[in-house]
Amino acid sequence: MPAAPQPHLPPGNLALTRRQLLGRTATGIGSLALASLLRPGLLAGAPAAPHFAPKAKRVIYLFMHGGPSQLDLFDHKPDLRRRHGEELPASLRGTQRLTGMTSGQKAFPVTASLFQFARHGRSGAWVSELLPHTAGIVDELCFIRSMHTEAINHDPAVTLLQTGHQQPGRPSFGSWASYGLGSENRDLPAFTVLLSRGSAARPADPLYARLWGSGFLPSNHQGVGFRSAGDPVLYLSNPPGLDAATRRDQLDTLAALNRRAAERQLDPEIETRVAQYEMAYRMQASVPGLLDLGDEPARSFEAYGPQSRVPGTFAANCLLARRLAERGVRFIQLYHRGWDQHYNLPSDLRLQAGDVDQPGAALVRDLKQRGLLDDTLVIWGGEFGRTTYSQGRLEAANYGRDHHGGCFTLWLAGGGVKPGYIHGETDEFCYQVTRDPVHVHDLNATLLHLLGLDHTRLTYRFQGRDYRLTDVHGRVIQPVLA
Amino acid sequence: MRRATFLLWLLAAASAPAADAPLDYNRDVRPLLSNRCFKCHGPDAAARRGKFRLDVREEALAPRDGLVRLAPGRPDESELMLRILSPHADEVMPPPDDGGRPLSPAEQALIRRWIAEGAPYAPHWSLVPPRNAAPPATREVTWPVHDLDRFVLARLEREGLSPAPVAAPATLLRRVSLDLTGLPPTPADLDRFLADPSPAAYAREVDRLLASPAFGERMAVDWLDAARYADTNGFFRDNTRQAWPWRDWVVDAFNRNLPFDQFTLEQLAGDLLPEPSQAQRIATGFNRNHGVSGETGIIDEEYRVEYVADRVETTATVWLGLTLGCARCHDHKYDPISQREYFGLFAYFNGGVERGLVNPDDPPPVLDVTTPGQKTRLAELRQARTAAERELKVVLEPTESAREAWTRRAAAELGAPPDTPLARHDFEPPGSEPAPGGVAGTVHGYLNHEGGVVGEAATFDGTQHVEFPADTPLSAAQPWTLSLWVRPSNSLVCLLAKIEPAGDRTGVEVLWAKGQIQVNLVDRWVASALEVQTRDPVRRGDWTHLVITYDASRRAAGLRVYADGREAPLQITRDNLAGPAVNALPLRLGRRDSGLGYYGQMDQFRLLGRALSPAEVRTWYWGERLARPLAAAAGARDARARDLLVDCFVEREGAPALRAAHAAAAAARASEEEFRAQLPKALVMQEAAQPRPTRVLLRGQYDAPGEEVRPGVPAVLPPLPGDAPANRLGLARWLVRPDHPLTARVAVNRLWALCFGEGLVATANDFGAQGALPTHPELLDWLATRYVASGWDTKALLRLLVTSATYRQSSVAPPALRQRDPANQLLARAPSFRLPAEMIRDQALAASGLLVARVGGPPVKPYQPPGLWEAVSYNGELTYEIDPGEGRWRRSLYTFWKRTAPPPALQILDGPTRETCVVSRPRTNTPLQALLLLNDEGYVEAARALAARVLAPPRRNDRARGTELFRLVVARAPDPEELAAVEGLLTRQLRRYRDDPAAARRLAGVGVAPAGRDRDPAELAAWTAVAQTVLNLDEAVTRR
Repeated sequence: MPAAPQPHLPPGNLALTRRQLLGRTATGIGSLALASLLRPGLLAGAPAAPHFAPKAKRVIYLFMHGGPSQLDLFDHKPDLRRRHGEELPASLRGTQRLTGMTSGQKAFPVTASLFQFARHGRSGAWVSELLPHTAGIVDELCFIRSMHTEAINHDPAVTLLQTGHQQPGRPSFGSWASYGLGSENRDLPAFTVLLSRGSAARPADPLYARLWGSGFLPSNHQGVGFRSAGDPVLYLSNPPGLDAATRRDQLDTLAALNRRAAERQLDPEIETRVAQYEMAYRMQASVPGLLDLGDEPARSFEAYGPQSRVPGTFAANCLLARRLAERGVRFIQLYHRGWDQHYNLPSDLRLQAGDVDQPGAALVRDLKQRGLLDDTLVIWGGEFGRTTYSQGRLEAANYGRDHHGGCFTLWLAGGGVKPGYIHGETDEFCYQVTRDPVHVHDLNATLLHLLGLDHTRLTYRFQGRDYRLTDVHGRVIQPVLA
Repeated sequence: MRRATFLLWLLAAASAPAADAPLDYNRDVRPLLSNRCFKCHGPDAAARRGKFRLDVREEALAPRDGLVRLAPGRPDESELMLRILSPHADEVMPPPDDGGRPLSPAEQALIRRWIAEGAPYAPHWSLVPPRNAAPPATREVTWPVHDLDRFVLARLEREGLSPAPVAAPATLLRRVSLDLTGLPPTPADLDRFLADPSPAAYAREVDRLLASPAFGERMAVDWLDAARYADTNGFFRDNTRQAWPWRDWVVDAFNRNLPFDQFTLEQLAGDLLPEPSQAQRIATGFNRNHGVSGETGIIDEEYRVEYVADRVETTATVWLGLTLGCARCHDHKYDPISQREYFGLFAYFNGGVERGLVNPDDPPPVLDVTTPGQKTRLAELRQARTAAERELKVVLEPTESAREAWTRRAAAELGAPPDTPLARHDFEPPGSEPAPGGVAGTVHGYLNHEGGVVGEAATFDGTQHVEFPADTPLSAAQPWTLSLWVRPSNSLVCLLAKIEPAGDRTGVEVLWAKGQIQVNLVDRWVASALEVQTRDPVRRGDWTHLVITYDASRRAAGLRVYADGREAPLQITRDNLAGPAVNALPLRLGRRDSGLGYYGQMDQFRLLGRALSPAEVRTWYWGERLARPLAAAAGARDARARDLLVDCFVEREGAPALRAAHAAAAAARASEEEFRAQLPKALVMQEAAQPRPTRVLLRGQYDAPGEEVRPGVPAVLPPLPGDAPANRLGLARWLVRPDHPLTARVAVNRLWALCFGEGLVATANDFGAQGALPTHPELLDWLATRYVASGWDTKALLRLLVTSATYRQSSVAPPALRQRDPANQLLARAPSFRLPAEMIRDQALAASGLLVARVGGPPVKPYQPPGLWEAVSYNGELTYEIDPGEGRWRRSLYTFWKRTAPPPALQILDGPTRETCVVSRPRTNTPLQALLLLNDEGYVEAARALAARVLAPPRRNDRARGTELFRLVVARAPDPEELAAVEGLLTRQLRRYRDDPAAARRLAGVGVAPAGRDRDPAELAAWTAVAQTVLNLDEAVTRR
């Protein structure tokens, strides 16, 4: 994963370093570069601080890549059983775009979910049998059943959700958060990315570096990959045969030589170079501890499920996400691949749900228990929903569903979100939103709002225009706010 | 950082218009109005509020509804002023709900003063052709070397500043070497330069650098960013493309100093030049470098429109410095460019032969790239083929009636053997009448059906399989024949398997590996097995009839593989089968237990209980291959069907002369195809025979066409040359007309930035109303006019810049100057900045002696941590394989650039993703950069090779070695204190590695380069640690 950069120090530390800097260089003017290293965005006219009191200080984004079926997980449509196999009314489809995969299909048979649904919790939210653990925490969750998007294929849809635009080139959500808010941890990146592949038999769709890229924002706002094999962060480990003592000796020599050059060159930015290498050294010390789950009690693994002991799984990544949240990482982005159930939905969706149900629910519970849920915003969802009609042939125990942007469901938890609440409604076929539509831009405006950022004011000037995550759209969905 | 400096400068500019001189509209007023007012009162008619347009004077002055909105000389009577000052939230401008702050008192005062001074307007500076201003007079007259220095000096004198002293010779040589070639000077370069104090010495070095092949490589890096060059398609599966011939064209164009006007013509319209050369057609790859999507399900036209839009916007950024993309959905909000004009430019790029949904790796149109020798050879092959085809025709024609007669009886003569199959699957859709005879398989998963070889075929996507019972007699114990039609779309898949997933792996499996068929009969893995694979790949991309026969001999000699009815030579991997290879597992088509799911199509599976003869196999192949052609009416057969019938007729009925002519034609075709297949491809522009009309797209959307537009250029810019054709060539000629206000300014601004870190216009991508103003407008114009007058001579302009007194200044700045001008806008010193990613890596390779200076060729794969491609690629199926040899040590511009997983060594140091046009990179400073430079395998290997290099000469003491180390990396000798620090580190590390020889061997063992492998590992390891330290000096990664 193209990794990138960048811890920033909290203000206290910044001040300290500045004093040291003044003491050392005697230039009396501090360093612009140092300030930018410590608080990216500071100089770019960015807020680097919320616009108003935030409800959420950090985000854990559980991205279900491929488009999970809202019809088989959350958006219960009991009447479809009766219509199962009937042709979907053409009037309902209207002019809505279909993907090239089913636009040529001769029949569009209505396909009821094969799975049992039940109401759960005080909120009475419907959840399918595939997500028993999620069903147990519905009163912590805020479901948005009226999500919609105009994108109908993976690449543009994921790119839209994560960058506010279907085509490449814009910064990702996490990089906007890093730019707008900086980091709470001096030794870790503000924006981290953890990837996992699903259990579905169907091949996992690809991901793209732009989904955690910084677009036209300075590159230090890129997401930094935390990997389960090899170096957890790219290039974190010293080379073979070069231990921490040698590295320390190298860095001390390097700092001495650099300071000598600073005297000659009268350039305060050289001190930034010294700070950069010291931060790298601290990162080398702090990341392995963060990733070493040896200090987790057995009950953690029990809670997150057996897969949480297997590095690189979604369950292990959820556990890591909690540890990153505890350490103040601003934006923790998970991608779980494999949710593209064009065919064999019943078997593959069961496998995918099995990957994420227990760890996702455990994460919410765990955050709550540790008092972190109040200021941690958790998001669960994919780039679009799936069609109410079967893609290809409808069989007794098997069907598939194509991409569907007309409606889909996701859930939010913690961080200023109204718990036990269900927002929006879809029609009896689960084809269109009938009440309280929430566009991708509305969702992003709302998420920024929870982070204390006004989506119309979090801007960056590029090519003469003040760009926003929400482009020129988006409104905050007030009802989902606690 | 660059943004910060820009803002600081803007603040300086905006807050301090001279009190004694009248305001300058472009400098003092327009930026404020543009930023705060034009969005609603500017060029965009649709967004205009209150019917008030402020960016055009006549319209602003026109009273409406009795209100005087702008009264020159009378601010208090101007509605504009009253609204700005209004205390009422519903009246005040800009409106508070706009998300912005109110105007500051200083800004209010500025507008008042402007109105009071008569509200003068001026055309936007960059839209007026540059004037060749006389260089200003300066008080100091000895400092300037060139006229350009007088522009800089005059400004410094106005500010009460003086230039910095000239840089130390070593610093200057390193600076100019890096700027012009991206490589540090060698110690020999350094010695030669330091030994010659004459003024001509520097000019000689500059000439040497400009003539070096490394010059073109260095220049290409920036151009590749602008042209969004990459080696993959970018969207979704991000397949590999061959774009590198274009990259090589760029390197070559810079090296032969192709004038910038010709550089422009060839890249934008090389294909439209009279009798274009191959190189001129390759040059048009500039506008094919954008990403393309092969995602199943996308809407073709939607993506085709995106590609055209990308060309418009990239071309506008690179040549015009205009943000034209803003006018795609509506009129531009700040610059006078309408949406209609946007589509006028769109029309130039809209006529190509291309699709939005692209299936092949190299999206058409593509060109076979040949050397002169290959071109001749290709012509010969083509000639040989046409001659052979002509001869075939001569002997074939007289057989027409015989062929017709044969066609009528062929169906009865050809086909499957009479045996009843033991197992069969026809891949017909569910509900079809099952054919009699043999056990049919059970389908697991959902199969799509479409036309196949016989009836329908099934399409697999790795998730389905067809299963037969465990007692299906497929083992080594009895003879059998397998027959199956396949058309795989992935390189490694399982066609069929009846094999244990682990343990002894007893059973039978057939795999497809890049077209080679592997057949394994296993009793016990390794110990008792028969494993063969076809020596050559069978045909790919089309249906292949695969037959495998086995005679129960348990010997490789008893197993044969046929592709399209012909026996394929086998390579025998193992031939020690000693058991029956019988298991209790089902037979599966399309999957092995452990994975390798099948992607692609399958048709007509049969298992027979004996080994067929070659003649039977051939007859079977023809029977099924010709099933469709024979069933069709004679008039309804396409060319391919007719060819197949001829092939079969000749084989079975042809006289010897006909057979010989037919074989000769087939061989000639195959030779030409094979030769062509191994030629590199280039993505090129090519106009369709039928021009595609262009319509305005409402809201910029592909599915909302409006009125038709003709190709044309924005009215605010000069008109097209009278004789310009209405195509890309006309557009390119327009761009390079000598009086074009933008092209030369935008181009010289980039060259200035290359030498001075920042452009004279800080926003290299925006010369419009929202962009920065030039810091030295007269200098920019002087350079632009000179560039045009020189015949767009790029090397001459760079020579001028780097030999100027301005360039040769020291970058050392006293604190007071840094405080006064932190961003160095005034140029009272040389800039210093961190080197770009490519230069840092190339410098390490050069200093260590590892660099392989070969110019051009296919992209290379240097060191990269494992797992990065798997983490993002479709099903994790792609793996980055580090090149075995010199690909590890080529210059970084040749590194394979995968857009969805860009090379981390370049990304971490601010390399772009190459998905969009980038004309200036940010420069950030992050801990990950330190980790990369200290720990990446490639950098550690370079440090070791560098250590070996300074250790190599005999009888050199550590001080001399330390000195050489500094000279190799930072092009100067260390001072005593620095040398002492290095020696201290060396002594401590030498002790450490002598105490731990194993650790020394580990460190010295990083990488594969042999350098230093013959030395004492402890000494080499200690020096490696020292070399790493020097390579990581601030001075090493900074251009001073």
